[in-house]
Amino acid sequence: MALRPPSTGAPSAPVADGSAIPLPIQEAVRDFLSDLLGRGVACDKASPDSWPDAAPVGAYRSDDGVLLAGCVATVPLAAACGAALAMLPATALDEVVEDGPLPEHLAENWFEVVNVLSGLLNSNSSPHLVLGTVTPLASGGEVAELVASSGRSRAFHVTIDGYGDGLLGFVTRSGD
Amino acid sequence: MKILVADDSKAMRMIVLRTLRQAGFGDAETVEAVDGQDALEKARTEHPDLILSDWNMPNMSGLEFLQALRADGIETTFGFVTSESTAAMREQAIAHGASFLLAKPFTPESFSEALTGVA
Repeated sequence: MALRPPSTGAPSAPVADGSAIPLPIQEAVRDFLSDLLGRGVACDKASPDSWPDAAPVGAYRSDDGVLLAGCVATVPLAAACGAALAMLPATALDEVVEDGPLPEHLAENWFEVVNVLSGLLNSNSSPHLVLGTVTPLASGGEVAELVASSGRSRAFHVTIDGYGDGLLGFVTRSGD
Repeated sequence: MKILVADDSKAMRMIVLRTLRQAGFGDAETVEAVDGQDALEKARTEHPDLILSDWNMPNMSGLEFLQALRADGIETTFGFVTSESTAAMREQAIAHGASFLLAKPFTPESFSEALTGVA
């Protein structure tokens, strides 16, 4: 029987390092969204300098509640995905303004998309992530700090057949 | 056949129903539930032949729903359709009496494969 060091009784600190979290490649993002939305999706690499204030940001947290990764999108893409998910007519996007805000009914559907997108960031060898909130980047806080940080990130230009296009990004927290 | 679909997202319930049709279950009668508690009540009154449930739901989670079903002696074929699919979740699902756990996003083909032999 292996000897174990005596327990100090102190609880271990929550992991605050997202460096082991996999970042998806463009083909994975394309196929994932195509399967989810049931329609054709095109996906190319992108390198945005910044994100608009209205961009909705999904906060993925560990089981300890630590923010480890984020998913950010431009409003047009979030709206397109939200409409496609519910199979709404494309005219539902007529009310969408590029610099936001995301209409409520589309925001609810986008939340579900971001929730399912967590599947691209979860693996057997990285901290388990669960979606917490989806809030506009302008809301600030640690979520906005994560998006603005120099953490690992990838961004894509995504087009949803029949609905529209925009930018989608994933960012993970570097170890403290 | 009667199928109960439980998910707190209306959009996801629509997608599950759409995919069921695409997988060849277009003739099935379907019942929708908005959370685990609603699903449990409908399982008791509607007597579905198959239950498809999300894992994370308000009021009563999918796992709690399954546990309550089995505690009631209801042995209806049960499958999870969820955004998470860790090995631990699969083990938990099967241990509590689920026949399968299908990860989102799913396709008609993966749906059909999961339901083959159980529905």
